[in-house]
Amino acid sequence: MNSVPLIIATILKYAYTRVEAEKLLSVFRLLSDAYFYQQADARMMESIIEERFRHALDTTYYFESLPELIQLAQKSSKGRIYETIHDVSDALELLPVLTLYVPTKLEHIYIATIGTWVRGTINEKILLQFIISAAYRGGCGVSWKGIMKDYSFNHFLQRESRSIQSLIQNV
Amino acid sequence: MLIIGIIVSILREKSNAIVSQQNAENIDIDQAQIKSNSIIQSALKQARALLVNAELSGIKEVVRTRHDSEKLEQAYEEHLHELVKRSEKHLEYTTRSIEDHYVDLFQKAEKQIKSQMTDNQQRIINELDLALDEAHKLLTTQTQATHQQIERQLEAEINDAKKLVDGYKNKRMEAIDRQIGELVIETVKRTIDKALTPEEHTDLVIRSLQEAKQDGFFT
Repeated sequence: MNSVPLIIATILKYAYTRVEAEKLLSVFRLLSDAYFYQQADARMMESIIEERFRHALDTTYYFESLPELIQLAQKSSKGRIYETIHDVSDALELLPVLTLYVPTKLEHIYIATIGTWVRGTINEKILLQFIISAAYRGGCGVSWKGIMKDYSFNHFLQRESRSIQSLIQNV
Repeated sequence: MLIIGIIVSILREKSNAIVSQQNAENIDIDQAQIKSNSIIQSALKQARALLVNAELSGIKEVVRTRHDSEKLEQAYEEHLHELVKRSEKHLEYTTRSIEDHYVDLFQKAEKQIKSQMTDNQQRIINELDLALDEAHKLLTTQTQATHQQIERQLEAEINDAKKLVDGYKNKRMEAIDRQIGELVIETVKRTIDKALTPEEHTDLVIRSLQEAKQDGFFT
């Protein structure tokens, strides 16, 4: 059974950025290692993950995804597990990436909000990539298929410049 | 007298001819002489008669001639007198005619000169009017052309000045707008991060993505 699409679907269910997807894939690797080489059961597998990411921030989605990832690990073939992980990694590399330039770091909950909108509007398999830049206050910069455009406050200011100038002149 | 002489001469020639003829023909001289004498006597008689008649005629003629001469002289004098009178009249008439002619001529000349002067004056006036009209037209045209040229120059200068002012104004406005914009942006930038919550940041990101979608950025 080819579990790669299921693993990818599960990762995309909980992860909205490339980094999050890679982290969940790392979690899946840890779970697989624990399952195949430490004979860990589900509870142990959760404990291992909790211990591993105890000091990490914003890891809620890790644990939300654990039940499904554990099941996937358990259903995987021991002899092909690393090949599967490698295939999943390659497949994740091929997914479309939408890069957003934002002025501040966003937590997963907000990323999920943005990711849900993006997948429901643009592409259901899209992965986000956030780059922090103070230049994109009041919005974001968007890079898609090699084209970048500023939709930050500067963009809205330029778009409304005539109205603003008119307002300023009429003051 | 002349006639008598002529007659005698003729008779003598006849006599001589007869004599010569007699001599030539040797006719009886006596008879011939008697005949010739008789002829001569007859001739003389006729001659005398002729002479008397001639003298009478001459006298009559002289008298008549004298009488005619007086009449002629009188007629001549009358005629001469008449002629003088007529000449005087004619001279007077001629003088008057000449005078009238010259008066008329002078009047005509004066009239013609006046008419000519009037015509000349009118022609000069007309020519002056034409010249004035031409000058007026030329002046009007030149004035209009000059006026238009001045208007164009003024308009061009005003436009240039307006462009200059507008350009300066636009540059100043752009600079002011830029400064205001920069000031607004800087103010917003300084406050936006502090003022916005993560939810608001998220909403702004989604609004930006919606804007990008409306722009067709994702197609």
